[in-house]
Amino acid sequence: MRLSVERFRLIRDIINGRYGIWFSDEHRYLMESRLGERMVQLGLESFDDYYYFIKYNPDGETEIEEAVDVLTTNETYFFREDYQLRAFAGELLPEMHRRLAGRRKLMIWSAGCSSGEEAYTIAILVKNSGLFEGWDVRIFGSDVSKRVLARARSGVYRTTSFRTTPEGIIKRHFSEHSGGMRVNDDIRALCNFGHLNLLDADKSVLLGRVDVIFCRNVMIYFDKRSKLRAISMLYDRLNNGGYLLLGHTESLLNLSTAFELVHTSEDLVYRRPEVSHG
Amino acid sequence: MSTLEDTKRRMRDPSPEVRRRAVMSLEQALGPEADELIIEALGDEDWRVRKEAVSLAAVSARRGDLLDSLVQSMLQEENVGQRNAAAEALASAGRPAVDAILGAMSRFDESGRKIACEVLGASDDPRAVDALAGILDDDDTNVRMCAAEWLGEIGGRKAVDALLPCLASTDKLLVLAALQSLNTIGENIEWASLEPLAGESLYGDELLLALGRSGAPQAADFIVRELSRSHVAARALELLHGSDSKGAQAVYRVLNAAPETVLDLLAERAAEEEPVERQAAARCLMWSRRASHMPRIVALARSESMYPLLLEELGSWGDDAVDELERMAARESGRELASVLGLLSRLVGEEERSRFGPLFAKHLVSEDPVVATAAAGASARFGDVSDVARLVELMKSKDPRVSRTASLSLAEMGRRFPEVVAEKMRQLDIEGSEGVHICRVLEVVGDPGDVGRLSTAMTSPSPRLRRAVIVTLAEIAREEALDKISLALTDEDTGVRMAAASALARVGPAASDTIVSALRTSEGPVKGALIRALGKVGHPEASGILRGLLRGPADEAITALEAAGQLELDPGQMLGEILGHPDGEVVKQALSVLSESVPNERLAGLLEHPAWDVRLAAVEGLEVRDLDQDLEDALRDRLAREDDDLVREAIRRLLSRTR
Repeated sequence: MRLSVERFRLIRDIINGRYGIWFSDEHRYLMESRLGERMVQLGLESFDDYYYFIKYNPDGETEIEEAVDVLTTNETYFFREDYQLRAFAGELLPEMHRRLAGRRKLMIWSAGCSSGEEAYTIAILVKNSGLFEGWDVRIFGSDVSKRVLARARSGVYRTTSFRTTPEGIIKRHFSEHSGGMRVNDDIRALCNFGHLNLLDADKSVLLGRVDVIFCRNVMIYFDKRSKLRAISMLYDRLNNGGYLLLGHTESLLNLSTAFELVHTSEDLVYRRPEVSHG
Repeated sequence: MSTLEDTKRRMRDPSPEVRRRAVMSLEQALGPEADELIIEALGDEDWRVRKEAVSLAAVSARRGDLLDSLVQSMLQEENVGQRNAAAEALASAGRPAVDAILGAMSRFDESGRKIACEVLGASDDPRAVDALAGILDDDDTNVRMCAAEWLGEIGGRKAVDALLPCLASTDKLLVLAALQSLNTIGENIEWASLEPLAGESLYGDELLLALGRSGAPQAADFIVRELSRSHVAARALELLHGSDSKGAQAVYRVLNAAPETVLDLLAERAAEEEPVERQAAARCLMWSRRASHMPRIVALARSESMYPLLLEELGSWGDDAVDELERMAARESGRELASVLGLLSRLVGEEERSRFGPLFAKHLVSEDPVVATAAAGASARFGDVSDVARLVELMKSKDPRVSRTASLSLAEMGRRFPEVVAEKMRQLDIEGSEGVHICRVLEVVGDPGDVGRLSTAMTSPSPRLRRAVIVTLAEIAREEALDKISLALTDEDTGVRMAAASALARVGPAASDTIVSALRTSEGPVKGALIRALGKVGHPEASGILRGLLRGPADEAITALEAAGQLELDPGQMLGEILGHPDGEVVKQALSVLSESVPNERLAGLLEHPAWDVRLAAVEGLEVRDLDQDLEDALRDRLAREDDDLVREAIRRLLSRTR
């Protein structure tokens, strides 16, 4: 089934309007093949029907979520981009331990957590740092896909998720489980998961303020306008002095000057200034 | 052409709607010619026109006009529709119609006299009782019966005094009508008046009920003989039992001596009949007081709704019932044993724990899930520390009845043995199949030390478990769980978000900011739960927030109205929003909730509401108020333009009060 340029753009605009995710014209064939499968599952005969379904059917909103789910690459793994994680564990955590000792509460947000590997990685790093025993620690993973959230909640992963995970970490924090390895309860107890669109600033208020936001390889799908909205929301959610960690190919260049750049030994991270801009 | 001439012309129009509107316009016209037209309209071939005319005629009759003409209409025989319409107008005219009717009584034929009885009965005039009593010796049977029936409807001592002599009448139909009316009134008729009637089958169920109410011990033998014939006989015995101790003793005596076939019949009816007869049959069965009938009684316990009655009656048996049930427990199995255990556990006091605890504990290991469930239920009151382990095993059962009952009992035992039960719960995998049950028990025995495990379970893929965890967290950690509950408001499952919204109310005032934040982004049932939570915990800006919600969708507006009531906010501040709501149902709800707070001018304003049902609610709201001139003018103005017949009728009724 062919996806015409016109229908491609109409479907793309709907997804962009809801989630900020942007597909350039060269993604037309990707959309054709992946949404073609959805069409078959829904019993629809053409992309015209599919377009009308997501636009007018009462279940259209849910289908847009499904479309986003199949169109965006959710593939991730534990300890991905480990140089950044080393900086986080070796420099940011000790700094926060000193700075936040008064309130003994640490809140970290894995925005666009996909199937949960990043949130659990963060929890393992916090736990292994040994700095936060007795603190109120919470790692919140969010995504727009309910399917990946269900996987994150199950906490069970196959071998491919451990491609860069040190053996000692696996032994210490995972247990054999039917279907793979399961994250141990002491780590899972630190994590919560929720359904959140990064363009929904109002709903994000429910998180309260956080100390670190991991938003890695999420905004690569966004157009500029959506990136600006998302970054503004992330800024609002950070406590003064809180860190924003983006993917290695992402930066805030030409997007925001509200953050300050912090040089760690292995990476550059963004930080909301101690004296906030507002 | 004069206005009245025009009305006359329109009243001859072939269209019923034109004729109906023409009759409506007579509201504004006064005088003999208009009255004549109203009477004429009472005989219209179309019911809608007649209905309009009846409404107008009743208003006129209430102020004393048209009465003679209406009586004349009742006397004529050519137009039955007009005759009935005139009677209806007179009946709804009330007291002024009574004089007219009484004055004309001698001129009515039998069917006119019957209608007259109905007018008198519905008139609400105290003189009607004497008048109806006088008609009890009318020449016509139908008229006599009609008078007796209306006396029963009116009730009171004078009506009873008029009806009682009828029981000695040779007119059996009058006797039947009198019995029926006396039963309707609830009169206890003396045995002496009823005994002569006992041989007449025509009186049937009415006589049985009257015998039951009589309280006469002699009635018991007669009623019990009727048990096999009449479904009302058990109810009659119930009445006799309730009359006094002599009546009760007589009932015990006759039922104790009743043949087995009768008791079989009662057991059958107790399982099948309508609620009233069913309960009466069940009570009769137990009043037989024969231990040998216990299996029949136990069979009734299969229905949970019968338990209160069974416990009440078996409780009056004292030790006899407990001893017999204990004997049955030794020999029964399956469903019967489960019912025995269920009854025993409710009949016996906890001071008997040492006697019955072992019995219930023994059946906790039954392989029959029905028996194990009953034993688990009994453990809530009779269980010992040694039963905890077995209950935990039952809680893991795949049978939802067993697992649920076991968890509820564990929660109850947790109040007696909190440390033992809590320790057992801590040994279980909260993410296993019994996780929801563990949460239920932890609600009672949990402490802040369990928050970690519960937090782990919040990552469970099972929304059902996440919901249970939220409730438990709120219960045992309150404010300390606020962050976790807030995050659950982003859960992808609506049920979990609803549980989180409701849990915020349990957290208390510390959750008020979270509730307000969440309200901005929630929809549907979650938003409803949040509004209710706001109503419970309050917020400095609650008044403004709720006022805003009052302008929203109907379900939110109504919930916000309830929340405002819970917070005891000044309803006067909300009237503008709620009474201006586009959904008429919301406005009606508001009127029913805020009725006293709605000033007259607001109610008058609603007379112009586009929805007829709201206008009707406004008129009904005004019925309990004193009408000043402005309100009266507003009502008249509306009446002249009102299209809806119900609203017009209500306005006319209201205005006739002022004339």
